[in-house]
Amino acid sequence: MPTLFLVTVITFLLAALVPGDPARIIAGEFATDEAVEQVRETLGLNDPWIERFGDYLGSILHGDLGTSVSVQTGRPVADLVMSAVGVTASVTVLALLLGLIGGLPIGFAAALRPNGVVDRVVNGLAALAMAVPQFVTALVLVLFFSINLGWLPAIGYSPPSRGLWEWLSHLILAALSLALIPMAEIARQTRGALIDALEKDYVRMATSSGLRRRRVIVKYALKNAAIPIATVFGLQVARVFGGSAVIEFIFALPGLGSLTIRSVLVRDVPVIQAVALVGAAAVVIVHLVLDISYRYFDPRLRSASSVGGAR
Amino acid sequence: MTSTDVSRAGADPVAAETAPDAARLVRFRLLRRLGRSKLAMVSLVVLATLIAAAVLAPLITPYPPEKQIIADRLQGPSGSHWLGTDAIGRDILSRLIFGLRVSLLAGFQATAVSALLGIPIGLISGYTTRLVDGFVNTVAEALMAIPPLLLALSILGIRGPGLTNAMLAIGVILAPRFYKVARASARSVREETYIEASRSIGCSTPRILWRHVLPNISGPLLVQTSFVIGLAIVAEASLSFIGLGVQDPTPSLGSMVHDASRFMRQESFGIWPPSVAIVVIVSALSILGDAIRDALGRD
Repeated sequence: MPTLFLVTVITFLLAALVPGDPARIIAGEFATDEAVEQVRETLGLNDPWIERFGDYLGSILHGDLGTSVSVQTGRPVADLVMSAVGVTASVTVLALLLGLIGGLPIGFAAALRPNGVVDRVVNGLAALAMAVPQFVTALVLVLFFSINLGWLPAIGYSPPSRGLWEWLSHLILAALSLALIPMAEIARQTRGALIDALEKDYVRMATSSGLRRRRVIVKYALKNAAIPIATVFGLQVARVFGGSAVIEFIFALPGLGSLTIRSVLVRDVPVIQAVALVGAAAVVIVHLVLDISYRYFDPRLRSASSVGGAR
Repeated sequence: MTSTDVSRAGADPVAAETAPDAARLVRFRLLRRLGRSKLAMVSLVVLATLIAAAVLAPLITPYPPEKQIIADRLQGPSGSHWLGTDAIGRDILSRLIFGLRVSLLAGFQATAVSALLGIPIGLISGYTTRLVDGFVNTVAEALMAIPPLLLALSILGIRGPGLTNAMLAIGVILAPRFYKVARASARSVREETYIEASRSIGCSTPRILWRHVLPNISGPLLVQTSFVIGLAIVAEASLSFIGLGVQDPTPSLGSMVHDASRFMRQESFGIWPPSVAIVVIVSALSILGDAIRDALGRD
């Protein structure tokens, strides 16, 4: 919660960093002094900043994110964000799922024989994948699947109401291009965490007491490796969410990223503030969920947080 | 810039005095171990070559990067244009070399910005009292909660598009990486005997941080620098790809990919040279980072 509060402080401050007089910029180049003064009054720019921050915070809590000044003049920002957030959420979730589905087994396979053939190949490919910018992956996918093979549409978006396959086919390339890096990161982290866990004393103990290798790995090593994997996954959420801006730009998807880029080009500050805020809120929520999941993976954290609690 | 400062601080005689033989031994071992990794050496050579090409750009490019030969537009590779031409007939090889210049410089500058922001704050946060640390860390976490590219876009939206602002924005979004490493490392060396010793003879906190803490955490910071440069280059390329970084006639690797992508259906070759260049640079940097980390040892 303090994090979210501070994020609102940051987004509030973003507006204060606008060079020049925001009222004059909004009023336009040829506005008279009276017109500028009028804009300043309606925006509340004459109030002391603490009062303005109070107003800002208050309206956010009421779900009012302000009014767009130049992307779609006069339209509530909350409207614009709501209409875009679904697209971004679909792409992001799809990409993260693909990353997880791909990354976990690959990392697992690599960890079973450190420095074996699989491990080396995986390491090399993962390092390479992490070096490829998302927009390059996207273009290569478009080149291959859309232009050369003609299997999938290159750009555009189709809402799920027009058919699920239609919807998915417009998202899958975008999601794939975002998924590559998380997949590589998750594979690497899974490998590292699992190798670390397998070197631990309790694993040696379990092995020496005659447990089967599969049981040792699944029951002891994997569960202990879960926390670093979850951490990396959490870090990827922010990256994928942010990265979707570039990908939405390529695939002409009407999500938050496209909205941001449009508003950056015309300097629509309220929209920019709102998108940053929504992005941060999404990340904070994911991290909260992950924090809770740590307690599931590691009972020590459970007891630490509830000292004098249940028992 | 700061990365060289860090390594120089590490070689500083005063710093070495704290643990004279051990420190020298560690450094030699680092170089020797680094030399043993063939991949790291290859990366080093590749990076050196690319940097040399970027520095010598005006001397070695076959054409001026902005010269248009409309008749030769959208060509594939040929004898006169090794890597073909773009949509308005500019030589891609020449633009690539000049783009390399812009992208590498942008990467280094953004990294310098983030190191200058992240390292001091991280050192202070990790070394001083819980109260200060708690406050700084909460603010840093809030900043980190905003998805990095979104934050960069926001900064660009406020300050306006362009390469300088893009580098500032990238510097800001990558600063947490230095901050985290500096904070964690400073925290781990804080209780060491030599820090206690220098505190007991009356060293001021800034002096302890600069002379004793920083040199001793230069290893992890060096590793991080090598990754951050790569990330900064990718981020710059992404922003220039969207059209919010480098502005048109100037080539950068990202803007070149974008230029080529618009005519992909007619001639797709153009997207490859700048894309491959980015991938090569970033892989080389990350291999180098990994090799340094391995050479430093896990302890």
